[in-house]
Amino acid sequence: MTPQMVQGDAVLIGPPHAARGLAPNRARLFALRFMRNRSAVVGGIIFAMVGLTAILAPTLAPTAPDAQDFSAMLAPPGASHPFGTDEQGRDLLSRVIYGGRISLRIGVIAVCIAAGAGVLLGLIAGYYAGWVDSLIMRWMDVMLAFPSMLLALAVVSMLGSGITPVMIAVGVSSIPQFTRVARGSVLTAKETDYVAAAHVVGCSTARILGRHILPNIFAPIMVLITTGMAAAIITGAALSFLGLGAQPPTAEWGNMLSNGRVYLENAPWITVFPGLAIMTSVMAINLFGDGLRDALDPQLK
Amino acid sequence: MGAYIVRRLGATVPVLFGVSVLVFAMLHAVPGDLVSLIALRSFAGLTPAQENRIRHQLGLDRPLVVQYGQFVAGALRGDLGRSYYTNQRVTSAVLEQLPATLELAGAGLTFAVVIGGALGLVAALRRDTWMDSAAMVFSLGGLSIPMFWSGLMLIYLFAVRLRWVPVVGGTGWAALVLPALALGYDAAAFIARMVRSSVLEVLRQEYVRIAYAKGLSPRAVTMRHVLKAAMIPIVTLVGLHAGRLLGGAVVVETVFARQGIGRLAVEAILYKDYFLVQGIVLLAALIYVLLNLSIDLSYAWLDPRIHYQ
Repeated sequence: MTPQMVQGDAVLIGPPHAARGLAPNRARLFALRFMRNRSAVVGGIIFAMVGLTAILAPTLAPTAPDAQDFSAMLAPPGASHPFGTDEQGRDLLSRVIYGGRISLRIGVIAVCIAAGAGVLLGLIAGYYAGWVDSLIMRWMDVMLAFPSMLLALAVVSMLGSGITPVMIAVGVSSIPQFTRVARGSVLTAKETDYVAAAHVVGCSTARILGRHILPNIFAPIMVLITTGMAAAIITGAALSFLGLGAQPPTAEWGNMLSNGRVYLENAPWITVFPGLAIMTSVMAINLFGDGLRDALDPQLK
Repeated sequence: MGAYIVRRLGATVPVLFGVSVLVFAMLHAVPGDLVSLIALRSFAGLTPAQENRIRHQLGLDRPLVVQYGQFVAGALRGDLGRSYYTNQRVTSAVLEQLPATLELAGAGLTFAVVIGGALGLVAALRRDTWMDSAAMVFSLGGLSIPMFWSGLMLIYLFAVRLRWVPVVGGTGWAALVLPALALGYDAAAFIARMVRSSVLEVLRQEYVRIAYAKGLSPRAVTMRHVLKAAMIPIVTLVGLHAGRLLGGAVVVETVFARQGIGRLAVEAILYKDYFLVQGIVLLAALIYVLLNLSIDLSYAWLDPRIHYQ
């Protein structure tokens, strides 16, 4: 790119100093677009509140998650127990609050595993191309050949039941999506002039990948992280619901639902509130993610 | 088109190979020794000699490559070993449960295509009206409400409160409707979104404006041009969603206490019946791969412009 061209661009978009500050400008533009999307902002706020509630559980919850009130077993929602109690007289509000700590943690850690491994593999595949690329992408095709729930079930069957296996299972089963998106973005970024320039001035591969290519794949990966987290929370809760994740008496949303099934007829609140909690969190993340996608890439709308 | 078909088929072979390796490796990644797990099943325990005999019978004392060869050869003959819990052949156990799952998935998919397609179409044609908003709220719900919860809420509403259908069991359509709703809602939500955006895309196209300009009635434009556009994402999503439907069946079958592969899979995992787990995972992957293969091939037939990248 010649200096004249840069000058020309700057004239087109505004005063010359605007060209230098392109990145912050883009960020501000994105923030503006995002803030204008009311449902996305609401989603973000709700999710932040759900997250904070989970973090502050010991302070916010009226009782400990496994404290039993023998005078009020299967009590309907009321003044002393806003969400009612379960068959052991445990306060459901407290259990839903504590349950969020596990359900959300499963979602967050699973997405970290998927995004970490997926982006790394995608960067390597896209950057090195050739047989490395073929090997990684063929392997991703194989992983994609398994319906993700089945893949997660297979991983759980190998690792055994529990919260950690579920995090790994859900995380591993969504690696391919991150790899594909990251690889695609690297392929595009690799063709740009500034990457060529970085090569010319002798930047190391790690520096080029980290400083010049990674920021480019940030936007699509962020969108994938939000949708991935929503899906991970649901799959994680589903595995616990099936008896393969968090085990009783741990308070976890999927686990609580599975426990409430038996009392659906007499005490539906045991089933209603944990489900509402899952729905609220996932819906908030989805709204936030939709807003993020629209703001990062207005053309997709 | 012939070349495309050959190459697409060719691309499937390494995937199937990888699938077989992964499924084979699964059994060997199980913590602990398979034979000692089997030993736990027998009351008296096993003597080391008996354990060695079982190990030999299962071929576990041979090199891994030989074992893999035997696994593939067996799989091609439809022999995936026996459940060491019920001693039933894995293939027959799976095939026995398959029809129930296909019935559920078919009903769920039908619901999803009809409702999702209709809502997406209406949302696009009446863009920015309350109908559009309502359809998108419906869709957001489908993406956010877990199947196991919607299933339980459906049971509570229609079986416990209204008593329209039996709580569990029952036969015929009554037993199928609620599970199909729970399973199909998520797919309906996706389809509604996709159909909406692809119809909006078509409505912006030149040829649609021309169709209007030449005096074609809105109804005729919708029937002739817009519906066609709505069909394409539906076909794509059916392929993509087959996997989700299979995964969803695991949950929905458990919620509604229905027979099916999903429930079989959960039980097999809980009982550590690894041969059965292996068989189910292999079959599910096979169905998924072949379904997507046939969908890709049908694209080539539907749209001659498509060719292998």
